[in-house]
Order: sequence, then C-alpha cells, then structure tokens
Amino acid sequence: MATLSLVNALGSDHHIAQVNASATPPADDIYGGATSPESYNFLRGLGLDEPLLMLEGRASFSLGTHFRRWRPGQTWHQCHHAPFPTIDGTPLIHHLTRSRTPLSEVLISAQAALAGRFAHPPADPATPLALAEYGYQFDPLDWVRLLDARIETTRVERLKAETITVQSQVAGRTVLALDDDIALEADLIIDATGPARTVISQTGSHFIADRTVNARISRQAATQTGQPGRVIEASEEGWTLKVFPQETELSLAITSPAEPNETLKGFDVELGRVSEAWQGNCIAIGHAAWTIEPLSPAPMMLLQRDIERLLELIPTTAEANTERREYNRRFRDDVDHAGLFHEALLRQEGAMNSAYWKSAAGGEPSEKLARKLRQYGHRGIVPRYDLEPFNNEDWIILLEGLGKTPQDYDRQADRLPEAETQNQLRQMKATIDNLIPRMPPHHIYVAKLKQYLEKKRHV
Amino acid sequence: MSETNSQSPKRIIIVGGGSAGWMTAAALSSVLPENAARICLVESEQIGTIGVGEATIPDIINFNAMLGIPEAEFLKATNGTFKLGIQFVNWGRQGESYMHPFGQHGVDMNGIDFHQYWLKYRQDHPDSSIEDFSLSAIAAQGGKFAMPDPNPRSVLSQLRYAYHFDATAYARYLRGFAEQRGVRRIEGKVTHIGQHPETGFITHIDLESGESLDGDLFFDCTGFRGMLISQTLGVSFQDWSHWLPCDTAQAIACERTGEILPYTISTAKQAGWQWRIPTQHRTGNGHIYSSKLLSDDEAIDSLLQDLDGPALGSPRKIRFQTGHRTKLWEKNCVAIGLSGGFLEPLESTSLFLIQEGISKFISLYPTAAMPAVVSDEYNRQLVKKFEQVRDFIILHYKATERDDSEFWNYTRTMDIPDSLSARMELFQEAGRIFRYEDELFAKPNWIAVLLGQNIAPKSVDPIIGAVGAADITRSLQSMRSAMQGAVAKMQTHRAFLEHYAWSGETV
Ligand SMILES: Cc1cc2nc3c(=O)[nH]c(=O)nc-3n(C[C@H](O)[C@H](O)[C@H](O)COP(=O)(O)OP(=O)(O)OC[C@H]3O[C@@H](n4cnc5c(N)ncnc54)[C@H](O)[C@@H]3O)c2cc1C
Repeated sequence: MATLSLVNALGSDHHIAQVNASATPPADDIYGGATSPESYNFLRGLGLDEPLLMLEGRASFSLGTHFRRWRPGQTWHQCHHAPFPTIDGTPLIHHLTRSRTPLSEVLISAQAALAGRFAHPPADPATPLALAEYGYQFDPLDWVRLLDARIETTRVERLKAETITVQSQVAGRTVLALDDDIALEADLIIDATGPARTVISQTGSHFIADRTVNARISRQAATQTGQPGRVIEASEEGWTLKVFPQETELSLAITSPAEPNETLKGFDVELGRVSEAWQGNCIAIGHAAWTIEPLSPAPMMLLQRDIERLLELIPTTAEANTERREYNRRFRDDVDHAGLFHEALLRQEGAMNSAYWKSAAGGEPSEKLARKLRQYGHRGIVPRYDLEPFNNEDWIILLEGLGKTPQDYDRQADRLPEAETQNQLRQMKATIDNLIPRMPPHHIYVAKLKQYLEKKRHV
Repeated sequence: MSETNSQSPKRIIIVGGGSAGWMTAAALSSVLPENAARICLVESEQIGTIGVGEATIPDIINFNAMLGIPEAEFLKATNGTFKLGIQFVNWGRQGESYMHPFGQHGVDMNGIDFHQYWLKYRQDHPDSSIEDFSLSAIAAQGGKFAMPDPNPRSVLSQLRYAYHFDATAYARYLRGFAEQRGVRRIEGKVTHIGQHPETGFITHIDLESGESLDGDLFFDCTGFRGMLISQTLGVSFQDWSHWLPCDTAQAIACERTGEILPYTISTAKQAGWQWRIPTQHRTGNGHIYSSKLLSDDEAIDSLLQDLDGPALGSPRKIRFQTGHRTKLWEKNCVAIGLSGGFLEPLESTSLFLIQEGISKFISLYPTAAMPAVVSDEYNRQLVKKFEQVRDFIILHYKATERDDSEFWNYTRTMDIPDSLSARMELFQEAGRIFRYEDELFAKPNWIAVLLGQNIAPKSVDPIIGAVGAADITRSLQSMRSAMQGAVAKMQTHRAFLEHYAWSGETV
C-alpha cells in the first residue's frame, strides 16, 4: 500500500524500489481482515475500488464487529455509523438516557448486521439506511495479490532478496545489504517488514513492549459468504475473531503465550510500538511500527494513517528534522489514541482470572481513558483528543456495549415533552424494523452485486 | 428522570451586564426549558462596561442563529457592517500589507491543498499573491459584498463573513432579547459576596441598595476585575504577557469620511498596533501598546494622528493583562468574558471566546451539586481554546522582520511556545500546515498570516511535483477569473447595507 501510494503521489523524478523478502509474513493476518469506513477513499486512491475488491479481491462488506459474550451480559454490535441524529437540537444520547432506550435499537447498521443483511447506504438522507456506514472484510492474502499486480504495472523497481540486513549506519543514514552483499542506498527507507522490524530496529529506535499474545490463524472455505461483519467471542483463554470475506472464513485465536492448552498455540506476537517510527532516513509503517490486537479495525486504520502521514511529510531535505519531529509526534498520538479504544475493551472490572485476561487488564491505566469514562458515566459526554481515529459514535456504541450508562443527561432534552421524545424514538425504531426485512441477506447481496459488476464490466 | 430536573440549579445569577453578561443571559434564557431556572442579571451603570469590542469572526453568526436573531434586524440595531477579513499593514515589514480574509484560498484539488499549487505557480509568477485566489479578499479590496451561496458549486460559496458593530448596542439588543424571555435585570452595585463557610461555594451577593440575592449558580461577567472568580474565589491567573507584551489600549471613535470598508485594518506601530473598524455611523479606532515602551501621551498622539476623520470625544484608556484564569469554572461560579481571560483583539477573538464559554457550559450543563467532574472538563476544553488562539496571535508578532524599535526587536527574537515553533518550522520547510482538531483558526488562516508575514516555504511539497506546471497555471487562472467575475457582479458594501439593514443613524 505504501509503495503504491508513493508512486501515485511522487513525480517520476523520484526513484522507488520495493524489496521483497521471500514469503509473505504471517503477521498480515493480525491486521484483522477489516477496514473502517474511512478507508473507502484511501483504497480507491490505490486503485482498489469497490468493483475490483468485490470481483477480484474476494471482499465482502463489514458493518462492524459483533462482540459476543465479551463479558457476561456484554453482547453488542460495534457498528459503523454516521453521526447520530439530534432530536430537537440535542444529541441523541441524552434522549436515550432520558427515556432509558437502548442505543442499538435505533442503529440501522447494528440491526442490519444482527439480521445478517446488507445493502448500500443510499444518498437520500430520508431513509435511515443513509446513516449506515461500512468497511470491508477481506483476506490479506487476496489484497497482497491485488496490490502486487498493480505495482507490476508501475515504474517501481522490484528487488527480491532472501535476507535484508542493515549494512551501515552513518550519521543517521542507513544503508541496506540485500543477501549480505548488494548494498542498497536510498534517501528514504520505508520499513514495512512487520514485527521483524528489520530496519527500524537497527536505527536506534527501540520497541516499547506492552505484552505478548499468541495468535493462531486458520482459513476455511465456506459454501456461502458469511455475516456482514466480523464476530469476536471471548473465552477463558482469550478471544477468537472470525472474518467473513467471500466464501471464506478466517479465524484468529488470541491467547496468552502462557496458555497451557497446546491445541490453541500459534505464534507469539509482541504488542507495543517503537519509540520513534521515523529515525534517521528510515520510517517504519504498519506492524513494523506498532502491533496492536485486531479487536477493532484499528490496525488498518493505523496503517492508513501511517501512509497518509508519510505522504503529508515527504522530506524536502536530507536532514528532515522538522518532518521527522512532526511525524513522530502524530505517530505517537495516533497509536496511543487507538490504544484507548482497546484499553476500554480490555481493562474492565471483574476480568477473568486467566493468564490472557490478567495481562490484558494490567499495565498503567491511561488518564485520557479515565476522563472519557468519567465524563460519559456522568452525563453521556465523550471528551475528544486531537485527531483520534475513533469518532464519537464509535465511542458511544462501545461504552453502551460495555454496559456503561450515563447517570444523567443534558437537560436541554427536557425541552421536548417526554412522551414526544419516546414517540420519536419509537418511530425511528419502527422505521428500522420495517426496513431490515426488505434488505437482502449479505451473501445474496454480494452475489448479485458481483453479477451486476461483471455485466457492467463487459459492456 | 424528573428528579434530575429538581437537582439542576434553580437560581442563576449573572453579575455584569457587558457583552459577556448579556450574551450569557440571552443564550441561557433561550435554550433552557421554560421555568427551568430563574435568571437574574445584576449590572451597575455607575461602573459601566468596557464598551469596546466591535469586530468579530464568522462564528458569531452561529451564536445569533442559535438565538434565532434575524440578521438584518440585528445589523440595524447595532449599526453593523460586514467584515470579510482583516488587512494587516506594516506587520511583516514596514510598507507592506496583506489581507487575512475569511474563508479559504482557491480550491483544493486531488487531495492536495490549494496553497501547494499556488506555491508552485508562484515559482513562475513571482508577483502573484495568494490573496488573488480568495473571494473574500478580492471582494474586500473592491469594497464589495454579497451573501455566500449555499450551493457548493457556486464560486460565491467560498465567501465567509463576520460583522463589525457597536458593542454597547449589541449588549443592549441582547438585553431586550433576554428580558423578553424572563431574565430579570437588577441595576445596582454588588458590594459583598457571601460564601458557604465550609464548601466555599458562593451563596449570595449583596447589593449597595441593601438587597441580597441568593443563587445556586453564578456567572462572573464583571470584566477585568473578576469580582467572583478572582477576588472571592482566589483563582490564579496564567500570565502570557511575556509573549504578548501589549498591556494598554487607547480607544476613540471618529467620523467616517470615506466608503464603508468591509474589513478591519490593523496597522503595526512602534510599540504595538492600531485598529480601524468601520460601523455604519462611525469608525472605531484603538491603539494597543506596551506601556513599558511607549508613554500614554505618545500613544495618544500616534492614535490621533492616524485617524481618518474628526475625533468624536477624547481617547479612553484601558489597561489589561494578557492570559486567562487557571480555572474558568470554580465551585459554582463560571467566569465568562474578560473576567475569565483576555487576548488582545488582533484577531477579534474575545466575543468568540465568550461564545465558546457559553456553549461549552450549555453542553456540560451541571446539576446543582456542581460536580467537579463537569467543571474539570469545562476547564480543560476552555484552556485549550485560549492556548490555540494565543499561538495564532503570537505568530503575528514573531513572524516579522521589523527591527526599527525595541518592541519589535523583542517580539522577533522572543522564545515562543513549542507548539507554535513546530508549526512555523513545518511551514518553512515545504509549506505544510498542521492543524489540531477542533481548532478555531484553520489552514487558510495560518496560511494567510504566515505568507503575509513573509514566512516563505523553502520548497514546495514533493507531492505537487507530479502535477504539470501548465495544468496548474490553467487551473489557477481560471479560478481567478471566476472570482473576479463574481466580484464584479457584487454590489458595493454600502449599497448592500443600504438596502439590507441600514440604520440611518448618524453621530
Ligand atoms: C481594547 C479592547 C479592544 C477589544 N476589541 C475587541 C474586538 O474587536 N472584538 C472582540 O470580540 N472583543 C474585543 N474586546 C473584548 C470585548 O470588549 C470583551 O470581551 C467584551 O466586551 C466582554 O466584556 P465583559 O462583558 O466581560 O466586561 P465589561 O464590558 O467590562 O462588563 C463588566 C460588567 O460588570 C459590571 N460590574 C462590574 N463590577 C460590578 C459590581 N461590583 N456590581 C455590579 N456590576 C458590576 C459592569 O457594570 C459591567 O456591566 C476588546 C477588549 C479591549 C480591552
């Protein structure tokens, strides 16, 4: 993705080479196989538009992630949703608190996902479906293949090597050695080697480890495309993620490396981030810069931000001190802010007493998250920090899902008589209930869409 | 949840009837459900108001819209005019001027900021100015005005505006609005503030007349003195005068002689700067300076010399300190307006900060217990706003080549907040602007001032390298002629006002 983005953005006076080591690292799977709605334009910019993703990338739609029995009593759909409507000028959440109505009842994308149905949100704002937002579910192997084919058509020089090592490091400038003998010099090196961190780890940037988990991946063919959203289910040992690209089911089990049950064992992944993602002339992106669990689409969101940040700050001088400082500042903010969302999921009272859950709930609690929880618990307000990847809706859906309810609401909601508020909420729910059965099941929608796209392609 | 209602503050007392007090009263009386609370405002004619504060930024339109105030009626009542931006004279260098217009420059294309196209265009067109691509700037320079077009495809959709008006008349207008909605106004001087012996919460205020008023929630809108927040509750002040050394103003109105300009003029002087603000019936002027480096007499001489019409009355001196209260909400008291903090009016942000204070308060509306969890979040958000505005204002003083006085030598070489120096460096490298979320001043504002004050990027962003120079020239020239065409069709500012909202008042 970074290679394509750079080719698209930079003029032909920039020489770009991509060095590939032999095999695709298994770490691609821990990106979690789902994108968020924000990725739509980004993917299109890479040439991965929806027709291509559907016809050749085996993508399916994702309305979010269904958390099943995350904790006793915590089952909800962490759906993607456009900004919540206001009622009488006051945010929806206050009316829901006032009338004790569950949020999910009035969320079209949550209800559609629960019913296993999907249709594209129309532009017409009059229908509640316009408020649904979606990302994609995908198998990283498919997307790597698509990206690879696209890069082949560009001016990028492609190099293969069994091993990539750092040959020298002089005055903050890294020179690589391919297969131990060919020296490769560049003004800028992008390290996208995943958790191997082949280059960045040699530059003086160190990895700040949080904890280690074990990941086991499996792929299974399915007779039909599954749910319009991922499913996460918690267990004593950790949790399992299921992703449903077209006619496939990917499964990722996350447990503790200390887990005694051998049948659950996969490979260990150290979670955390590097101290500086940009060091000298090397910029680490994706899992080379940070590794977080795919509890949400955060891994894909962060990867996209890494690339966008890089494009915004392509250096203009050899030293690049200004760009580097800014890049690292935003990198730290982005990773830490995405981490808040996961911390809210993992650090809960009464966590299970197994190795995974104990370690997931450990570590230093963040004051930023504590502030969000305090403010939300008090009166349904979610404080925002600079350019957080998760929006207000994501947070409210999450906190509701975790069973947190505001003690109080904005009293401006009282301007509307309570019966009128309830009436409006009932109507919202009724419209949604009415609409859902008329939406096609996800697998049928995907199949029909493909037929249509196929036909259009041949016209 | 009706018990929640009974817990909300029932008796609200606003002390002070300047813009801050009446904006607060008007907003609360308009948004609170009927009979939710009794609102009482106390003001003292004997003390009076600050009486300046005539220029605004476009956000004021949202405030008036929230209250449902008809624009033309408001403009008539306040002798208001339209403001398309600020012209800065002698800031970057003596003899130079630039326009900081509202709204954006040009149109971003292919996900790349417009100013990057312009920076590349300028390599072949060294006389080009980025203002040539701002509809607001072109209209302002031509003395023209039109309403923005809501259709995003129309070139007129790029226009943004605010107002100039008579601040005292605005407060009077809002008073009428608030009184109609049940706000009780009491004329009198507050002489004593009563506090709960244990909690320190404010319980009541005593007036000179002997009357005493009990309250659950108090707004300190007493101006610079901060009678409640500072004198009573002892909240400390975060002083920023080392970054913004001006501490005194001399203000005076004069007769308007020429056309009514649709913009403010801010002229940098020996130890500060002077504003010129056109309203319908007169021109407001003020000289802001550092009293350590310029005597009052010198300041007045300089002020009077630069009036463009006969003075109306004599100059009024106002002393101020730049900064903010470390807490703008303490216990059951919220400081709004000058009592909460002050940043000099270089970018006309004070009324905006009042507006922010009110709207953040409304969105966090507390129960009568005034939980610290609420005031804590309010303080975090408001302090952040002050800091963001601060950086933008400091930029004007720092980004200068002037070395003709001690004042400019100081500001040019002073240390500045890290947040600002990082931004300036980033822009200097390749014209990049980093914005913080939810920031008042957006990319176009930073670009206007940075470029206007000669902070020229060393190179253009490499991502513009892939775009051909001829294509850029074509796009930019067609944008410019579309804007010039639109401005040519606009009415003059005066003609627009005359038919839209003319007060007919003379001085
Ligand atoms: C030189 C200068 C230029 C400015 N220019 C601009 C500008 O262009 N744009 C902009 O947005 N803002 C500007 N401002 C800021 C703007 O004037 C103020 O933010 C705004 O007027 C609000 O003032 P206030 O209501 O807080 O205080 P004031 O106007 O001082 O009002 C204080 C009120 O408290 C009352 N009061 C005080 N003590 C007592 C007491 N003991 N008992 C009873 N009542 C009491 C007074 O009677 C008065 O009603 C400028 C400020 C200055 C100093």
